Amino acid sequence: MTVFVFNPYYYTLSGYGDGSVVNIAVQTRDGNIQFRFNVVVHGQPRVYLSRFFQLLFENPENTRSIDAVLLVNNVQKETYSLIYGSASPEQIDHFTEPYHVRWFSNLPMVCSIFNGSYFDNITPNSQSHAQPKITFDTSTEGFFLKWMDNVGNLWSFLFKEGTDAVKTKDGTEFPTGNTFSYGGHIIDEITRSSKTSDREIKCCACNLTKEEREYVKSIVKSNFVYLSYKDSWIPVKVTAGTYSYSIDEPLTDFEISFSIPDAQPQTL
Amino acid sequence: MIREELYVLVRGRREKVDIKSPSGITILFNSNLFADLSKIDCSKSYTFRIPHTANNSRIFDVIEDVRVDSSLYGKRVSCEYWFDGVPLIQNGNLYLSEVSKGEYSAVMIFDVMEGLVNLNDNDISIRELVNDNTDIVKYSMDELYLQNHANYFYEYYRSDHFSNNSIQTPCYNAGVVHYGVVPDGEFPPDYNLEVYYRKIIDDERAYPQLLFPTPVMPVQRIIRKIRDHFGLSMSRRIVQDADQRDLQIMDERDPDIFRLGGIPMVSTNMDEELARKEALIFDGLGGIKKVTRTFTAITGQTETYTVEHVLQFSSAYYANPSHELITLKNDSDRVKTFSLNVHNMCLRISGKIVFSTPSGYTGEAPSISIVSIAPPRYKFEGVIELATIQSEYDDSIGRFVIDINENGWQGVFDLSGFVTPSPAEIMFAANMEDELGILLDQCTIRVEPYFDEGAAGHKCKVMPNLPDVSCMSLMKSLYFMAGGFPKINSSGELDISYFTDIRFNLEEDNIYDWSRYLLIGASGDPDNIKFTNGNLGQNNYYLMKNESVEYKESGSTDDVYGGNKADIVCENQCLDRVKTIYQFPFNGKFMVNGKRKRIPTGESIKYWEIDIRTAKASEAKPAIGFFKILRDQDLDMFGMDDLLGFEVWQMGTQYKEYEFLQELLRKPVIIRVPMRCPMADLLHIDYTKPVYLEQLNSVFAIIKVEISSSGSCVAELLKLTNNYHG
Repeated sequence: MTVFVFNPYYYTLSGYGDGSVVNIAVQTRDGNIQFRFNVVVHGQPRVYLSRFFQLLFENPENTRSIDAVLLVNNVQKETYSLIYGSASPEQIDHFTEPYHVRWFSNLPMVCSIFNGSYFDNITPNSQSHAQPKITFDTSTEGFFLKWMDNVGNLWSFLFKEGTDAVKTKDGTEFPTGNTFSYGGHIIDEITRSSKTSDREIKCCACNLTKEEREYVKSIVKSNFVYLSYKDSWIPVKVTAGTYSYSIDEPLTDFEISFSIPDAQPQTL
Repeated sequence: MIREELYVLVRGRREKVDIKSPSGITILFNSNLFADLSKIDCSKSYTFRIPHTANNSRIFDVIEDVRVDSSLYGKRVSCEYWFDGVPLIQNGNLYLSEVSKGEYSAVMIFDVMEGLVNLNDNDISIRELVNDNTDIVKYSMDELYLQNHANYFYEYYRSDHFSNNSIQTPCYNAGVVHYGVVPDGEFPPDYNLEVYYRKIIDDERAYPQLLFPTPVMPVQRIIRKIRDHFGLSMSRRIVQDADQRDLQIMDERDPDIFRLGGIPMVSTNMDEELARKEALIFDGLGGIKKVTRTFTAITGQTETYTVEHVLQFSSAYYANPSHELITLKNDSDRVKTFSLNVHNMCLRISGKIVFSTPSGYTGEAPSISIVSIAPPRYKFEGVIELATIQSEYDDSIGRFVIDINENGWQGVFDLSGFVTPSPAEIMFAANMEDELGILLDQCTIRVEPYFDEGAAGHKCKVMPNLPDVSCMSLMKSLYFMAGGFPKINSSGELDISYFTDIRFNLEEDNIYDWSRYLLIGASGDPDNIKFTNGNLGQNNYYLMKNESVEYKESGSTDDVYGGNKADIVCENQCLDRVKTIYQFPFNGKFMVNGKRKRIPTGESIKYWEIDIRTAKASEAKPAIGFFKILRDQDLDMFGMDDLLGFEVWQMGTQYKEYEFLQELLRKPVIIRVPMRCPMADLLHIDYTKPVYLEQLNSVFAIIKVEISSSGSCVAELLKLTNNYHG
């Protein structure tokens, strides 16, 4: 059975007498990672398993689906196909209905979609179960971002540049011991203060169709967002806030802002 | 931005824990300038919160899930804490105390000194320290005689004095001089102490005589036992495993209580036995006039003294400094004598005497007679000849020789039932016929008491006979006596910093210049200034046990002890008038005996006294002191040199350490200032190094430095005055 580990999942124990203690183990199929605990039975208790499912993912950015088994008193009772994500009803439906994906052919495009049993890396020519409908786009100007959505799919899109801002924060101020003088008079002591800085960028996914919005909007919920720069991917953080758009408009712009780690000023 | 990292060792792997930024960990560097040993930090611990992430959950084995029997439950794991790339804590322990609101509460413990924790929590009396077979005193008068003043302390530590059952060192036999009173010229026939003590009370004019020397236990040996019992590790300034002879001088400080200190044994049980056996007689000036010894063989008892007594005649005593030969004449002025109070005992005489006869001598072989003389003092009357020993001609050296070694001739005198004219004293003299020209080439005779092997021997254990002082009290006292404060050095050992180290560092310009870290400007003020550390009064006393802070009328029969109290004065009228910083568990010098005022006390320890009504003895008053030379004032016929003696320690501001402490605390000004973190200095901080702050134009001693993970750092400093230079 397919389970999203961030949707709450309960296993119901039945057939055990009241007061008995049952040992439950949740482990990867190969047994490398295992969690064990005890359950005291009264009636037919529900056993919450999601936390352990989540902990089975040691490297979620690379492996977003795992096979796991449930052992009750060391007897295998269930097998699961775990997905590192959670799903809303619409996303569950999408297993059967394809996405409409804008493919940027001149950029390092990343796309990986759950096909019902595992995450498939999609290309325009692949024959995957989850093969989306592709629209090609050759533009290259802007910020190219990739991200993992809350289901575990990987997406990328080119955002057009908007504004580039620098946000600075004051650190402690301290005296240097030097003074500033003019005309034979000491005007003041020179103090310096340290700063930290962040760079915040506003950008926009322009002219999104209704279908494209389906996946692009997931970027604002994502914890794993990267910006492409030459050959590398820079981790960025999408600024929290309210992102709204009209549902029915055929074409809309979707504006986001993200902060990017900046070269820090010298620490004093 | 401070980068912090926390690593724990879990299930054999070093894992990096996700921590908040900033983590909330605060590190405190605390000088013990105002603290004593019982208040020293023997471990530091900090509680902080660790966020609940998947990574942390895996590391801590899902301890936040009630159903799981986490392998980290109740466990302390090794941890490391890195602060901006500096491994601030390398051997820490971490455990989770609770989980709340989705965060783990972790406690990190570091700088743990297991031994000191143990000492704090499980303190015992020094009497209860391990008492192995090596702590048994065997008393020998000979050990008290010093032949080499330059090395007096170490000279007698000879390996041939060790046996499986006893150790002799000069320290155990150092002469703590105790005065008792013996009526002039009269020894009660049964030598019963009770009886003649009753006489003493009535007769203040009685001639003062010291009773006997008491064994003294070196402080070094006690500290070693404390170290081993509690598992403390101590620096070489405090304790060394070397023989007494090899103890190295770590600091040129005088006096060095750690190295040269000793504690006399005071238990009553031991003393009574000892009193009946041995006696030294001194004159009132501390010189030595003659030696009186009492031997008693007590049968059928255990746990008392085994007395092995060795007296040595040596030609060195007689020698004219420029010649090796000596002439013995039958003349009381020249005879080397000693007196023995003998009761039920045998004597074994051994040794070697070589005569030198003039050439062509055809007379009889010279002989030596062992005589006993019963004086009154210094007059020989009633000489009784005990034995005559003939010499024999030794062809190989061409001399007449008396060789009374073990393989040769032995004289055993059974003196049981020997009745001497009153007073009951016997003096043995080696007397020679007055033949012209016969000279003594060499004369070494040993006279030993000889016990019937069937008689049970007695041994005295050392530790249970020491004063009843706790180990912590003793260690604290030693620090105060030495004039320093405890510290844990960079090797994690208990060590001592002296107050004057601060001044020394200042004079040598060995200081921390933290001006550039200070976060206040040249025109600024410290965040906080206080005029006391909270524990000080206007008068702060260090007292001996017999003293009190408040003035008390002393009764006319009260004993008087020496030892001034030391008073560190703070000139701050707002403080309490009087505080006692520390009261030593030891008494000062015993100056005047309240009940027998005219009897000199030798300024030694107050020894046990007998209550005449109950005939019970009370224990001697505990004291601590240094070994010193007790000089013979009167180099007379005995030719005795110096004895290894003992001097009681007393508190006094003669110590430079306390003079300096007084200057430090005369007008204490304690400031708190914000700083950036002087990381390189803090890592191996030396609390005796003063801190210079240009902005305040002053030098300070460090009290504490607190750094928090937000990067802020606060230092608490004591202003050093300028009055003590030179």
